[in-house]
Amino acid sequence: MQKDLASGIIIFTLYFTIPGTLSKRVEAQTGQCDRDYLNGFIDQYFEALVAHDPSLVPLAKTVKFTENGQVLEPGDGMWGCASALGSYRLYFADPEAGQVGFFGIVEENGHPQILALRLKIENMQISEIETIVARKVHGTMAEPEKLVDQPIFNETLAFSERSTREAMIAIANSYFEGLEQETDTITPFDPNCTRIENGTVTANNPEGDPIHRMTAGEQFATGFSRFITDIRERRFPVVDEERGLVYAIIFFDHAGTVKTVELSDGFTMTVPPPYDTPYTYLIGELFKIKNGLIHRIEAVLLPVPYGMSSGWVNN
Amino acid sequence: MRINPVTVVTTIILLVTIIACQSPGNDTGQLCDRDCLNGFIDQYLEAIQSHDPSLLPLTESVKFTENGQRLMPGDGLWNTLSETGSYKLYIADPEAGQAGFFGTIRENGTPAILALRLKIEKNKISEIETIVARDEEGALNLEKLGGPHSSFLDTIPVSEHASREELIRIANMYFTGLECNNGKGTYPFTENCNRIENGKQTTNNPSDWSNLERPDSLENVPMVDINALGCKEQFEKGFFRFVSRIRDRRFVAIDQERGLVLTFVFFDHAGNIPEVTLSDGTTIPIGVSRPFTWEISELFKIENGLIRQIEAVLGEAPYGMNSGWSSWEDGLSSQPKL
Repeated sequence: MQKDLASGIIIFTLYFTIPGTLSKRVEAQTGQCDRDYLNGFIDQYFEALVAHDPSLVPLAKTVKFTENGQVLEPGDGMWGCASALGSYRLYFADPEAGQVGFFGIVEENGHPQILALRLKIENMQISEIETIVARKVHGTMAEPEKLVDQPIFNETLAFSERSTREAMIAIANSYFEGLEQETDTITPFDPNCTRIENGTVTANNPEGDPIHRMTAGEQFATGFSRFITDIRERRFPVVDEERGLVYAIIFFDHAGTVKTVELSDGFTMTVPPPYDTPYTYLIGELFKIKNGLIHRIEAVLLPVPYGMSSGWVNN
Repeated sequence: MRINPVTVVTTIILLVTIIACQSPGNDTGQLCDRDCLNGFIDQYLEAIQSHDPSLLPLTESVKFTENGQRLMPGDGLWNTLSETGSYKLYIADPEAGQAGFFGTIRENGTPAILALRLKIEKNKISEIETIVARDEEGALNLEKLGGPHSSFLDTIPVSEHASREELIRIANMYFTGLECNNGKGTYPFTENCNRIENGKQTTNNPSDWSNLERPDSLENVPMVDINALGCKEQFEKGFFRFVSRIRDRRFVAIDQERGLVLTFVFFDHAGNIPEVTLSDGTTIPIGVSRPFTWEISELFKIENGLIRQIEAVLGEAPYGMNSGWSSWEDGLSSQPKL
């Protein structure tokens, strides 16, 4: 009997290991852990979510769940009112870290909301669930109906186009540094870098406002970002090397202390409300990095109390 | 005339005690009375207006939160408060060393509402808890009132003082009655009870629906003007069933002399109750389709065991947020925390 059980475990492990091409470190932690396997957890999570039943997913005993930075019991928050998964679905996977992410639409009682989801998989169980829900309410400017597939995020990079994990994180971090330092000189943007925030194209958008018509790099070059007083709790939990994706979770603080900004063209911009009061965004931001350049950015964000923590770092 | 040395010593001790109690700056550890506590509030407002926390006697381990987030004194509203407004309501609990305040402010010139709690220990500020409701209209409405409701200022005869425990019990009945409200509980309100939330009277105040445009699909759907009802009628209506959890109930200042209880709580709405059947059998749709939370500081005036007046300062917070003053377990519990 003991022998049979051991054989079963070996066969089970082989079954999941043979198709994989992944690091031995993660195999040791998680069994097998490739992209499809990780994405399967996302799909399983959503099936359980709309059934309002967390027992339908394999949760670690010590699983931690946050929704918009608040620690909740699985089953609370969006679990109580998620009614359907929308058609917009963007997956990103990090087999080495056992992390998987997702941007998409989830309906709450029939109302579409934008969701950023991160799961950590350990020993074939979900040990961490981190969600950011940008609901279509005052202040979020969420436009879920505008979200459409961006094939660039799903493109697999040739090996020659890839960067190391460390380099990818450094490039993503340079985006935040560029904003803090009010310069385009330290962030490697592709000349056509486009950014989408909560469904709205806010950089390189020919049909947008004047500021949105600029590329991300051009925006940085104006020096507009001085009123963002801190970009903190920078975490880069999902690095999808195959597709050149880095998922960052951060906070943008606006202390309300900067009343005007002198732009690089000499124009003085008055900082508009609500950024003239203490104001913070919680942001899940995904970067497409190819040949060492940021080609595309997509973000899910919402205002939260000034100074809030994510619930995932020790303060 | 012969002066009795014992009388002199007693008089000196009394004088020293009175001065100590009334001066926020000394460190004798004496009880800080109402004037002393109110003085700390004024001192705090002056310091924050100067953007300079060093003007305050803060303990080394002082803790400061703004809208549930722990910040360094000097951050948050300290950067942006430009002046105080005309509406000021003080709450004092000398026994617990707690001072409370609801008032209007200007933040870079824009009206807002501030709820403030200070804990005073040995004549220093050891705790600072604030809610900043960035509600311009609400702030202006408060100022139009001309001052706090008179009942908040009225002193109750000593013979009628309720115990601290009794005052907390009555205030807690408000939250218990409201949480998953079914209209069948015991609701201790006076007939003339009213509630003001962020400057708006939300009882006995009929809504102006003369210009209300309803989509055709809702034409035959019943509506309830809940604000038109009194405190007790609202609770008896069973309307508030969609408030799924009132948690982290903290009763931070008890003003026995005036019958006031100052609380900090969260109202959670799980978003999973699309409609409510009222106690009269009518079923009405509820527009709460998503999880959301109110962070609230709520003040109760209690007379003869009944709630006479309610005033609240509130703002939306992420669903399930903690106050920063409770453990995670207590923060999600509906049990009163004393």
